[in-house]
Amino acid sequence: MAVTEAAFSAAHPHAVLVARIRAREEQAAAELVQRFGRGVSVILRRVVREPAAVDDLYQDTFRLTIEKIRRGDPRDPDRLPGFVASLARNLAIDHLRRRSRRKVEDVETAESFADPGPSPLDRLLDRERATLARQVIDDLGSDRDREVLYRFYIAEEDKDVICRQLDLTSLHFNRVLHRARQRYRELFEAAVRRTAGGSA
Amino acid sequence: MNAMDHEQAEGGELPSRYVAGELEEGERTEFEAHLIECHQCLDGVEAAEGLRLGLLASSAADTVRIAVTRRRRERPSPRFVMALAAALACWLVPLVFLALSASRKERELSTALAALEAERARPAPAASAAAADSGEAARLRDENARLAAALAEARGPQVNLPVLLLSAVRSASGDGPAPARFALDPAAAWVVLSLEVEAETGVRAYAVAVADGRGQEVWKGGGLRLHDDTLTVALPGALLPPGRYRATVSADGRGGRAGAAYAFEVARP
Repeated sequence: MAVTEAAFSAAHPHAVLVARIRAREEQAAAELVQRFGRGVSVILRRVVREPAAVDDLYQDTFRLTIEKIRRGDPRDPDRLPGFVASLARNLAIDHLRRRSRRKVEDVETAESFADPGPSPLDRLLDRERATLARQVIDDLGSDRDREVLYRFYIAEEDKDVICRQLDLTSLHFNRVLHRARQRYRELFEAAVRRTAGGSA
Repeated sequence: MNAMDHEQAEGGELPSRYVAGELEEGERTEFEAHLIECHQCLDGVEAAEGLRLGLLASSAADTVRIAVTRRRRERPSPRFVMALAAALACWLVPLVFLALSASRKERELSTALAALEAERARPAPAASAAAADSGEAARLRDENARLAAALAEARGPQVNLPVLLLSAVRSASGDGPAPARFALDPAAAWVVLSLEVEAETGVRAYAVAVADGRGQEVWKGGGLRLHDDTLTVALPGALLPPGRYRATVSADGRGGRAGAAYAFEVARP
């Protein structure tokens, strides 16, 4: 019997968690957050840029997920990751819509507030990211690879257009992006280690 | 909807394309369902997002730098200022030369006049000798007057000097692209050649040689120093009649081995 449960749990990793949430097991809610928390943050940040709003939406996503699971959603527990991801995205988009309406009302009642602009911390992060990005650019092998990054991330040109104009295969294009973000990650982790070492 | 696996996401470089907002709605939904529990893809998305923001910040900083550089360039460029300074320096050299020459001629004239007076004081000089001395004194006076006029002209400001800005076409041997063409006023007394040079490590001075279209050397000189990646030479306009020319720059003291070449053509306006 134990072997069967383990096999079932391996084949349907979310079914047991959904069942435990429906059984109102408190620890199950914490596990849900642990399992999907980072992913929910990333999805929310892709849509909403304000950190304070992301924090609120993060709480809302898990509160709503638990409520819906208890009401029987999703019907197929294997779809739990997609269900949580959609919920997070929909809440973020809804937040943007509401904020947009508020802005219009603010303008109508002349109560709009000046944009405070980036905080000192944001500016510091921007500078550090820029330093790492320049290092990545310097480490790239060719000017063409550098052009790929700029056109893709800065000019937001379509991958197919870039490949056609630079006579690149899709595979080469993907390799350039992959290598660049791997290098960025290495540099970022090294910087974090240096900071941790310096503050220790 | 089939669940996406990590290989599929990684192979399609979905983390980067997700961050760039390049995924179609269906592909994005499918990727987010995978992303939310795939730590490798989350690492990838965070790195790609950091890289994108870094590039944007770097790009913004570069844009500011370029704008500042452009503003600086709207002022007279250091290269132009150096060319003018070289022209002035080249104007001073003949000025000093003419001054020294005039002084020497004046001394010669005084000596000749003194000798003439002494000769006159002698009784019954030979008529032919007196005439010869008188002719020599007149020649010296004319020479002195000519030099004084040249000195006065040289002391005046030299303005409207044509400056030929030249960029290296390639290494010194073989043919290059069409030469830069300059229309020079035949009345131009001086012409400034401004040669853009890529500084070589360890080279303190450069030599420049100018040859005409037939390869005949027009001028050469050494000991030239780089200022703002530019060598400047002021040549008398008479040295550059209409025609094609080739200037070569070499490190001074390397046996004349040419390093860079500059082709130009002089025409009349």
